[in-house]
Amino acid sequence: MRKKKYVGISSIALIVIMVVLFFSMKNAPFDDSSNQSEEQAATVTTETINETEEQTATTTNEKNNDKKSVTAMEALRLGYSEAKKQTEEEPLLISITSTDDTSIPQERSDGADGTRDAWNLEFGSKKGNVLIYIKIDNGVAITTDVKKHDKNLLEKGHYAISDIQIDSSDAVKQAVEMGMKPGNPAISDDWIKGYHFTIGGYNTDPNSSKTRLLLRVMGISPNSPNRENESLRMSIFFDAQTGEVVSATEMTGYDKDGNTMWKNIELKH
Amino acid sequence: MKLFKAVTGVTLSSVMLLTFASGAFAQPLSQVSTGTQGASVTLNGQTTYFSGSQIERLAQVNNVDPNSLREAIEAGPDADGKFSPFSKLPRLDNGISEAQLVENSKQKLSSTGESLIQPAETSITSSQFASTTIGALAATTTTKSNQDSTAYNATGNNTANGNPPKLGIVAVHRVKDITSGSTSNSPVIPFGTVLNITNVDIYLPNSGYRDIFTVDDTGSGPNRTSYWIDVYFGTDTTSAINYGVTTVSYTY
Repeated sequence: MRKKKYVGISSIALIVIMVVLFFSMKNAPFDDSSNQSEEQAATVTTETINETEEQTATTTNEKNNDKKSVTAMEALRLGYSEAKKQTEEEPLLISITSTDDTSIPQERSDGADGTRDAWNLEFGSKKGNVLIYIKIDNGVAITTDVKKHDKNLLEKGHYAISDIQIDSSDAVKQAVEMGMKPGNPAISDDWIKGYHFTIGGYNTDPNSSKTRLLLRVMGISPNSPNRENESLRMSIFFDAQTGEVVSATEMTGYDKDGNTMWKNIELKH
Repeated sequence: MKLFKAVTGVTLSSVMLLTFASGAFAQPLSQVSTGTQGASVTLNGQTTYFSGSQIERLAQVNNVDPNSLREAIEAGPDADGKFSPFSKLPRLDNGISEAQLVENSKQKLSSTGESLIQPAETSITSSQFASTTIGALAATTTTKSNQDSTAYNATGNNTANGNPPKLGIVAVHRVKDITSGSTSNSPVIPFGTVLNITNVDIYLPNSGYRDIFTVDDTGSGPNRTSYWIDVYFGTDTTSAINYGVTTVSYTY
């Protein structure tokens, strides 16, 4: 008897629920379908964004995993081999500079061991009849341009690999010992992310057009305040042919006209 | 009588020879009158003198006022420690076309006689390899067309980026120089950026032609275009002055 009573109540409740559901659907607004679409669209978009973010993250990670960094000398040897393919002349170095690969997130640790994943090199010949531009990207040397001149009026190459007796890995160790800090990639105005390196001929004597082969390490001064816009930079120059530190300088700020002010750092001999 | 004829003939021949040797007939048709005084500048203990006619000719080729050019040469290095007189001078508004100024550029010679500017497609030949920018491996390439370029000599100062200067570098404006209300001393193109000049190759004194330059300095070019570049010319003052103002386009 009691069982029958429960079945009856349940049936009535079920009927009531169905009636309520029926009327609620019937009274639904006309734009329900569009709302539904928006909802769906939102869902799809979110899914897409999430998917894209995931893909980007995956790609970035893959890139980071694939990031192959080399020292200045390793880059120089790679570049030299590539330059040899472009000319019968002996390729002589004009300059080599590490650069930022902005397609990959930069890290504060970039260059801390003297290696970078992107380098630019310029080679010329003794005669001045060929000029070769090469980039090193993730350990691969790529010729980006070759120029030739019948009258030998291109910029001449000057330095053989054997002229360079110090590598960026050794130079950066000394730079860190002297207090140099890495550039912070989060500061967009700073072009130095981590540590950067250049080897080339500099005009160290204003009275002469002769150049001196130097290796430069660039980073941030230990005295730089933790500013959000621009840090104070620091450079240390090594004689590339002897490995000795030639000079070190740190930026101290700007004068009233906006010119950068630098001071020499006393070297400990 | 024969002796008289011979003497007269020799005399006339000598006069004609002297006239030709004096270069009276070799003067260019566009030679301007020399109403401007000469000027000299001393950099690193070396004095370079420009005569009035040289200044007038330089002013004409680059379309600037000769007296302003003379004053800019006499003024010597600026507050940045750079000698770059053409970076301070406005071009005259006298209807001279850009095409004429480009044509004038062909007359610009280095102190050792090389043409300072050559069209990128002539004389220097690119090989079959693609000519691409070798700067930072950026995802996008920026192009700056029809920008002023001038040349400067350093006076022993390091660059704004803290380096001794080297051939192959350029100076650019600071952000505050071209952006109203800005106080930023950062260069308008970041230090270390590699610029690939697309329309000309530039002859650097004691070096040779190149079309790849690195931003390593800032300068003052109050009358120049926003993305003006000042090319470092080492110690060769004559070549830097002869370079004048040259229109360049570049990518980075």
